[in-house]
Amino acid sequence: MTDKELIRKIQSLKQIEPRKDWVLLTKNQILGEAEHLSQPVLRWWPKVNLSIFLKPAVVVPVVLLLIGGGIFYFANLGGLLTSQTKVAELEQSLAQLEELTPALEQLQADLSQIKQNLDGAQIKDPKMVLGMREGVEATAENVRKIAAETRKVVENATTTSGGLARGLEREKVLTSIIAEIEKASGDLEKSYQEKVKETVEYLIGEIEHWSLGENDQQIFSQAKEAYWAGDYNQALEDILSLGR
Amino acid sequence: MADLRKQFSKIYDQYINKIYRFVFIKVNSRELAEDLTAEVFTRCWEKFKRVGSEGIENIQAFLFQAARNLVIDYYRQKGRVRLISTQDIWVPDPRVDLEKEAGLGSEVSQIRFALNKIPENYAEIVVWHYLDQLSVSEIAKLLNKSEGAVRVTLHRALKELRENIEGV
Repeated sequence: MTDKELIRKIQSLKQIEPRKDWVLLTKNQILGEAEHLSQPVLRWWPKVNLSIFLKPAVVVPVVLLLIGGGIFYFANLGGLLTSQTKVAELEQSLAQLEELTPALEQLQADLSQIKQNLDGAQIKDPKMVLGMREGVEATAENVRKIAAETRKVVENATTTSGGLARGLEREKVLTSIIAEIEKASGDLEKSYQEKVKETVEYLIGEIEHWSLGENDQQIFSQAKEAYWAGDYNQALEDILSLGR
Repeated sequence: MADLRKQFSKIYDQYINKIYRFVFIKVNSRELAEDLTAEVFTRCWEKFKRVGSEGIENIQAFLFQAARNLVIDYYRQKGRVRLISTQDIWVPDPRVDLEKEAGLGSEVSQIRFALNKIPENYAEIVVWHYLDQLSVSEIAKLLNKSEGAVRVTLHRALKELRENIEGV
């Protein structure tokens, strides 16, 4: 292998990239926490104290959502936002919020594709089915985190947006996307369980005809008990441990 | 503060992929790589707030060093053995053409596997130089070594990596 080929192989590692939704969420959590610590009271709307919304991981999206609906409105009111720095800060925050919707839409599309992959997985390949468990569980966990974060943003924004049209529209879109994502994630988990169940049923049917040693007979009985108890993951794990 | 946040936001965008990749190659787990990478940037932001951009001489070096230390701490504290796996149990990115993905994916697995088999300091230098495009001089500063020593290590690392890939 030449140096050039080796270096090309090393550079193929550039394909390793973090998930976009995670990148965005983490950034908001780190910088949101910072804003909470450094600016205990933020006043940019006369007589409205926004400090109650300055909670970790929520503050940046909340401020952004408010600003998303409000910045154009306030700008046209004749310069209530007088500080250029603040405007720049708000615009930056707004841009971050703008990124949230495509990231959620991407997650939605990915979930759909993962489900398709899962549905197409062969039940005769139990290791592959079990191997998908980590992916499905991690996906469900990520969806829960993202949904919780987005809901916080939307709830706070609903309280504070005061009916600003652009803010309300964004809230509706985000709420709707999150509901769809949660449904898709639920469907994915159900599909996974169904696939594991089908695989276990197929394997039990096959293994019934095998002659097993004493130890394996015991493991196989445990697997069947787990199956009857509805613990299909455990049943599959037991079956895969036969012969070891 | 707004300025600092803006500056750090740019740093985050610039380095998040590199640091994530660096950690991922070492730990072979998406979830763990995410946790450790988030911790790297949290620590960096804490320092950044205290000392400002001027206070960190080389932000890239700081991030890589923090990532390195966190991975070492993780394995030390948990008494874990480094995971060596040719398989990454994760559903592939659906946007990538599946055939292409399958071919490229195996190459990525092969090189990751080989990198995990050579000494850690060799693997780091290879990744920094050939993947993250750090110059020999930057790596020397990062590791507090002479440029000559880095060149020698790089040469040995490539040799060992090639041997591992070719199965010699």
